[in-house]
Amino acid sequence: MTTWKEVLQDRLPEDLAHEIDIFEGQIELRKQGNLDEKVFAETRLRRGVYGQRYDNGFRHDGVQTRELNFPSADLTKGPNTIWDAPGMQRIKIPFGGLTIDQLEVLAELADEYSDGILHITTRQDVQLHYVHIDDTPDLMRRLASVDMTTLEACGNSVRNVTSCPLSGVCHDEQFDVSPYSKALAYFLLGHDDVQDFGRKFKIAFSGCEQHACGLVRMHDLGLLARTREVDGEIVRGFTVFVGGGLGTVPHQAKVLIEFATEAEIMRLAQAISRVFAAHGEKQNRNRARIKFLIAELGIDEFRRLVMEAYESLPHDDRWTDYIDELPHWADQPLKGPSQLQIRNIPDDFRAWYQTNVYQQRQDGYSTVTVNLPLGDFTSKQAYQLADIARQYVGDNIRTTVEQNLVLRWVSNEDLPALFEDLKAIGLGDPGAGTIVDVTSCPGTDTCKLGIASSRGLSGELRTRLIEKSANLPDAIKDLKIKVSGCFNSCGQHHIADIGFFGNSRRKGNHKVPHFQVVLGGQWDDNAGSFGLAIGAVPAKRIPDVLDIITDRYVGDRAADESFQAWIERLGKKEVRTMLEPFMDIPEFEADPTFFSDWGDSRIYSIDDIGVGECAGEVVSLFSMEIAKAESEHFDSLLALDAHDYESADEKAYNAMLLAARSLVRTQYLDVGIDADSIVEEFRTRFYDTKLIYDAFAGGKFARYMFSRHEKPPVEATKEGAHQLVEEAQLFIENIHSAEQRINGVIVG
Amino acid sequence: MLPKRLSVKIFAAEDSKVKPAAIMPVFQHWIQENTLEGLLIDVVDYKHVHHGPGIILIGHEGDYGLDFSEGRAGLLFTLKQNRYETLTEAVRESFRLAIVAAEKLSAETGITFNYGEAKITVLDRLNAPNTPETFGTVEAQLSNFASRVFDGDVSITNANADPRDPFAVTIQAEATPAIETLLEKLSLSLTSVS
Ligand code: SF4
Repeated sequence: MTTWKEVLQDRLPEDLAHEIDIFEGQIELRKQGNLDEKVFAETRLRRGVYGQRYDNGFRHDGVQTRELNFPSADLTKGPNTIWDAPGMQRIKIPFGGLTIDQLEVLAELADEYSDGILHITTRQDVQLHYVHIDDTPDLMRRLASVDMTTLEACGNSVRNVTSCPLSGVCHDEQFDVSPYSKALAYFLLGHDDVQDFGRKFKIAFSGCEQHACGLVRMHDLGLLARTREVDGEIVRGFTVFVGGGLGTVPHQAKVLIEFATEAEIMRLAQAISRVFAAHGEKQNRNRARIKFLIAELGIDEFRRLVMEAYESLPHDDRWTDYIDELPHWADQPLKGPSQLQIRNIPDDFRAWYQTNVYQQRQDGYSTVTVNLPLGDFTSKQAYQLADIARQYVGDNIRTTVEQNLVLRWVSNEDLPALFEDLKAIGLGDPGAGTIVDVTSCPGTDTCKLGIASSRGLSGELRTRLIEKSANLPDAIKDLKIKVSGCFNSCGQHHIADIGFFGNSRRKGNHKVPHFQVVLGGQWDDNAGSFGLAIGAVPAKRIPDVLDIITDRYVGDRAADESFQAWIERLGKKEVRTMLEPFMDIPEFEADPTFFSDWGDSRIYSIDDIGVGECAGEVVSLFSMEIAKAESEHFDSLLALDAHDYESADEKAYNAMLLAARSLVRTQYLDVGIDADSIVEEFRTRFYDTKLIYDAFAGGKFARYMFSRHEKPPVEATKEGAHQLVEEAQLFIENIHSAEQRINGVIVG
Repeated sequence: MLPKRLSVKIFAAEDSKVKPAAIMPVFQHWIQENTLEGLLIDVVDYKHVHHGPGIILIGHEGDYGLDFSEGRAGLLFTLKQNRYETLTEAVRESFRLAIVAAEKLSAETGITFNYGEAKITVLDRLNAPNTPETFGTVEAQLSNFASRVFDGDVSITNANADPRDPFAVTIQAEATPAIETLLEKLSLSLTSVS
């Protein structure tokens, strides 16, 4: 039977194709029991293959916890993670930029591997849920055929690089940050210096200071566009922020450098990564984000270390190569500019226009926000959107951190027709960016850490707000509501005017889903300040709480008083007094509905909360890299089986090089990928010093590699290839035991 | 042709009152009581999505859903682990599982289904691209089976005009068969109905 690998072989970028082959090999190794489950977990997480709720094989059905008897029985894809259990696939969308072709491939994948739904995340990624791990290599190949990757979408690595969806068309920006975010995303993708983090690392770009879209102050690394006049010329650069983050305890980022030029930012990001990898916490994942390192060292010492690393980095042309491309970066509008001409404006168009249409800096063009309920749309809608894009805007599509899509460069006269087309596919809702456009993390629907149903609550609030949207007072229309299923803040509740995060309380023998109410966070000024937690309210009372807060704000506020200023004026005590009447929980018998969550009819339980994979397992750099050698060796075995001796020889040799490199990199990070350098460094550091020597065989296994390196076969033969594959196996074993002797650990 | 995945949708009768919110508790207690064949895992709510998959009871071998795609409500069974040896066998089993689920849903919610029409979607663009050739292959494989199961004339038509959509056919029976007859025929060995 034909395979996707065969069909797509000429359409995949070589490096991505190879990466996917390695992962497929690792899947086979894991199935055979030849790859440690923790190493496999990290390797799949680094490819965006994430666990989902109930993948430990248990689920509370509302009465009791039931075992889910998956056929794969004891096979796991990580600690307590059953192979056959459905999982989530995260797909990186650097700076949110999507093309029509990419949208169509995403639609295909949602149909064939998921549940027909595409979900936009708060980091501009796309997620597919209920995916079987066996399907992931083909899924990745189909993505790679349109230049998309899942690489490092999860795990302890650099996550999707986000940026304002309006960059390039915004009135306020210093300049378009899109090409910079794309360049940095690809510079760091798979980079050696981002492989040894203790936790994830999030990067964002923003075009201006006062507006929110980029949210640079809540990122591990944030880059805020600036210009300066130097010798009479305007020079582009960025203020570089580090150590921001939401999570359990939000941190405002600190300024690392006031102004770094475009020639400096790649190198600087690499230096920051190197310092994080070298000094960041690895064992205690609760303190492993870079914000803790900066808090511990102080920003001045952190800066000193970064600048030291900056100076010592070996030169890389890619630091500045991208600058040559910048003048060629320009969105291509599909149509010429035009003016909106419409008589007798229909009410629905007017409402949509007010909230979903942004007049671009470029006269005659608009950016339209497609409001996606809870960030979801169907594969059919994805095709229909692709058709709409083809007709009106071409490839100018972006995802947003508010879980919507934007269509940029709409010629203004097309707006009424575009609106009608969006309405026809159920995506013409107004209210983008307003109080009805509620943001939510996955919560208990699919996340292993979820405590309460953020999506259930968000859906309920959205429905109620839409019902009364025509009568909502202007003062509250633009408030932002954001909901997280737990304190981890993936729904970004800290930076909403009104935020909620899930927790639970007990009443008698029952648990009751609750949401902590967080008020007064600031989306503007790039996530300028964080909200205050006021108190926990039963989930079923949250809609009433929203009403009381908004009603009181409308009644109480001074002219032009912002929601943040009003909360501050009222004070935490008074706000809490306002919420207290809603905090009581009735007896179960009096009102059992309190004991179920929104969108879930089961009696609530917290028994399903599992161990999260947000950070992945902390697996040593060596374990990750030797796993690649093992996978390459496995491929050499397959090549032998296929009687392809040339390929078997090449792969066995590569496996040896990768194994040697994994050990060298425990001492010397900058060894690079050149075979001669790897062999030379390995020889000097481990062979000449006898560190690699086996108690019985001495340096024999290392000499296998030296011999193949120095004398490649003139013609690959069956016997020769067989022998080298055997030797590679022995060499990899030798590397494993040497690493144990030298460093004392393999995993963890 | 043996696809990786396929789905069978049985449409709700035109006058049937379908309330998505009432489906979630039904699916939840089906999990509690192991009401359907196969491993049932969880329920997911997509009723906020326009013409979407509605409420899905996620399983391992297959998913059951009250689906609203194309604006028509129906019981959708999606076969995710195709362990069958022929397309006909996979369709027959999926059809049977869909009807069993539809009947149970009908008993609990009052939704009625029209068993004289079914949409079969092949969710595998590699093995079944949406082309006239695939239609020829599928029609040849299913027509005998369909006319025996429906006990009379059936029409098989291509259901998805857009070549990007997954390949799909609608099977329409001239007369709506009695549910007992239909289930009986679907439960017989394949050789006797194909
Ligand atoms: S905030 Fe909590 S529930 Fe929501 S996705 Fe993050 S970890 Fe999961």
